[in-house]
Amino acid sequence: MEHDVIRLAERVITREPERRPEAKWIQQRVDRLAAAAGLKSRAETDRLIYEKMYARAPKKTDTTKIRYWRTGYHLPAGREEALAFAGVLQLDQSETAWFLQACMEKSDLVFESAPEEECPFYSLYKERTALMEAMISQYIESVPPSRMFQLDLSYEKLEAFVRHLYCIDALDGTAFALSSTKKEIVRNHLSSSNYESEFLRIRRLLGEIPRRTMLRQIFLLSLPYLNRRLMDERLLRLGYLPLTEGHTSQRGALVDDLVIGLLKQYEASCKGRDPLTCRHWMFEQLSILDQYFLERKKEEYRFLYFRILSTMEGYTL
Amino acid sequence: MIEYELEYLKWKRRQLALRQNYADTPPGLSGEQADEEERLLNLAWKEYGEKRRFRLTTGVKISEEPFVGRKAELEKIRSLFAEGAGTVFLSGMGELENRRLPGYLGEDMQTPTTGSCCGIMTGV
Repeated sequence: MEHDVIRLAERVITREPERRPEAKWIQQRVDRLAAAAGLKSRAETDRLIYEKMYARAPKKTDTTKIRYWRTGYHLPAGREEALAFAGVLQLDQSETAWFLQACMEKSDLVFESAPEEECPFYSLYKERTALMEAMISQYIESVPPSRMFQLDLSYEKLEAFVRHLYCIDALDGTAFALSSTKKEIVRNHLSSSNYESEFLRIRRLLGEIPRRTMLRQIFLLSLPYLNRRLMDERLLRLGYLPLTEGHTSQRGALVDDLVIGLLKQYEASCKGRDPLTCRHWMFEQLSILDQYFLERKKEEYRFLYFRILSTMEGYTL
Repeated sequence: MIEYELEYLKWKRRQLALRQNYADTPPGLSGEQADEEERLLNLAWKEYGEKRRFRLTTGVKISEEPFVGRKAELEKIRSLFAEGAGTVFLSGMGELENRRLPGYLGEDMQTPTTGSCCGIMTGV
């Protein structure tokens, strides 16, 4: 029997554009700069951009990376370089936000450490971390006692096991959930310890957190109380681009379209059902999807998978 | 010692609140559906209460260590129960072993306790 999610996955892959629309958007901004500067060739424009960014004339191959950015093969390496590039392209505030959030798939702001009270972004940081904590509290509240019993974890110390539960949930949403070794891994709380500092960093919203990571975070922490409206609202409040039809990831995958389609199917299949049934339905579909993308080597679409999962004791695929 | 039936009911109560908060999500509830769910849950709570009415709810053990003092307090508690108090609240500074005190009331009284510095006891 073919699953609806498989049809969704096939549809999404078929619709993948040859070139990222976000890359075309960047090209248009480069062309606008060239027209304003009266430059005829793209090579001249690349040279101008390089000179403005690094305040020196490029050597022979230095402009290659500018060409790659312009054509969408690569993107600037980090936030600093991206902002310098945006500055040279004379992007206004909303364009810069689009460049960071849609093209680079980053948040509007990054906090290297928790800001002091005097910092202008202090209240914003507090608001965002409060949202993250609220999501984690809700996540804890949603864990049924039977689940802790199955995992052989103490229900009284639920808070202490949040990281492990999160990793197990992520595993449940991957092809690993369909494998026969699953039961071995889930009982060992320490097997997710490699993810401890990273989980804490994301929880405190410190450092650069890619949109893909935040998408996974919101998705897992919110289940089963999840829909498009909530995903959009939470992404926005945390400074990210909301789910957007046609938006492509850095490697050109239509992950947003996949998530939007999946949420629609969730709504249609589970409306009015109890939380555990909803949760079960979603994880079943997620693992089927993950298996499909794994077999087709479409790693970009495995949005619940992250590398540390494969280092957990007992993981085999 | 965790009591799963109680924890399950508490969990159901939290889920009901979440289902009402997120009424527009698939497990969400509103209106009559929410009322009905609440009615069923209240029924389950009532049944649970009936079942547990005359049972020890936590494992209070009589200490094998010698117990010195607190005679006046123990007498007071006994007399309160004798007067017909269904529930007696104990409160005091932390670390004074308030939770252990009920254990010395004697085996004729079953004494469930909760809390870190106060005990709730039900006379049987």
